[in-house]
Amino acid sequence: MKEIALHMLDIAENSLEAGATRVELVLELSAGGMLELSILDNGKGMDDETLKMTSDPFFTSRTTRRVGMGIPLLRQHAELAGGGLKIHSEKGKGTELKAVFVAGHPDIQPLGDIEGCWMILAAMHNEVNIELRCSTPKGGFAISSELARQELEVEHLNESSLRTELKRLIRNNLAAIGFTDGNIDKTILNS
Amino acid sequence: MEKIRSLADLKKIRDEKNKGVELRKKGEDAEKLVQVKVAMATCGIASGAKETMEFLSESLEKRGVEAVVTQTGCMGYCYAEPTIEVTLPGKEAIVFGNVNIKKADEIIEKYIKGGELVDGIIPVNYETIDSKE
Repeated sequence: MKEIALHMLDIAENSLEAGATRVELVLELSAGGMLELSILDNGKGMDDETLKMTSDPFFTSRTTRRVGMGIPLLRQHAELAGGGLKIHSEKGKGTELKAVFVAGHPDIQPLGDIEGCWMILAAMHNEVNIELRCSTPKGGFAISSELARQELEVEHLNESSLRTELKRLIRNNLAAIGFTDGNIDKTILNS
Repeated sequence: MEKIRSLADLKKIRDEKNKGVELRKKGEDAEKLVQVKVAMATCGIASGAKETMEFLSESLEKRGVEAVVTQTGCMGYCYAEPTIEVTLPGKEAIVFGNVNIKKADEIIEKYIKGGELVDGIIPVNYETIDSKE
């Protein structure tokens, strides 16, 4: 897993697996230089015992294989970048995962293709509202797949030309707040 | 928080999109379409399934193949990720392993368009050591 965006995609798949109808993907860069990735869902949640097991790479609810490395890998990458990972979950209500990174840390992974990861989730899951919110000291923006479907008056966001345009739109919005070409703009970190 | 700048931009996309583009109705006759499933669990994503999926959705549409590309979980072939399952109309599903963009291109051109089998098929009777226990 080479990019923060790919972790985001991976964890969001867990939310969808848990039957969520709303998944919020939040990337926030604080003025203090901490980058926080949150994935919030209204899926089925986990009990305390399952929650404890999520950091064990040899635990998974799958039956096709015996390892579950999504969360352990994200935890490892967050810790390598001077941060950490926390999960809060309530059975029947949903799950909140937060990973924190020191944005200027030499070992932080690049942000990666945030727009592409949102687009895949939004295009593949018509019945779910996939929200993306990004903010930095320079500003913020939000987009949701439900809103996009309504505004564009389409049933799904799967059309290739539409995907390209939506990705471009998000890329421009990311650049405007200092998330340029899959990286955090050095100038906002030093200001 | 400010909504994506702006809704007007989204509407503009919609209007441009509606200009003369014929909307194809998919899913009505799913059995007549080529179905492609891309495994996108941790193992798949870490091996490049995102790029494979983007390439497949884009290329199939561009090359005029009526196909539905969806995602699926881990099929248990983590050693061969990215894996995809291709079902041609009226045929058995076939799973291909190590599908990078080059392989995906070959699968579209040879198997999906021409019905010719290509290297990289994971046999259906394949058993892992674990499953023999």
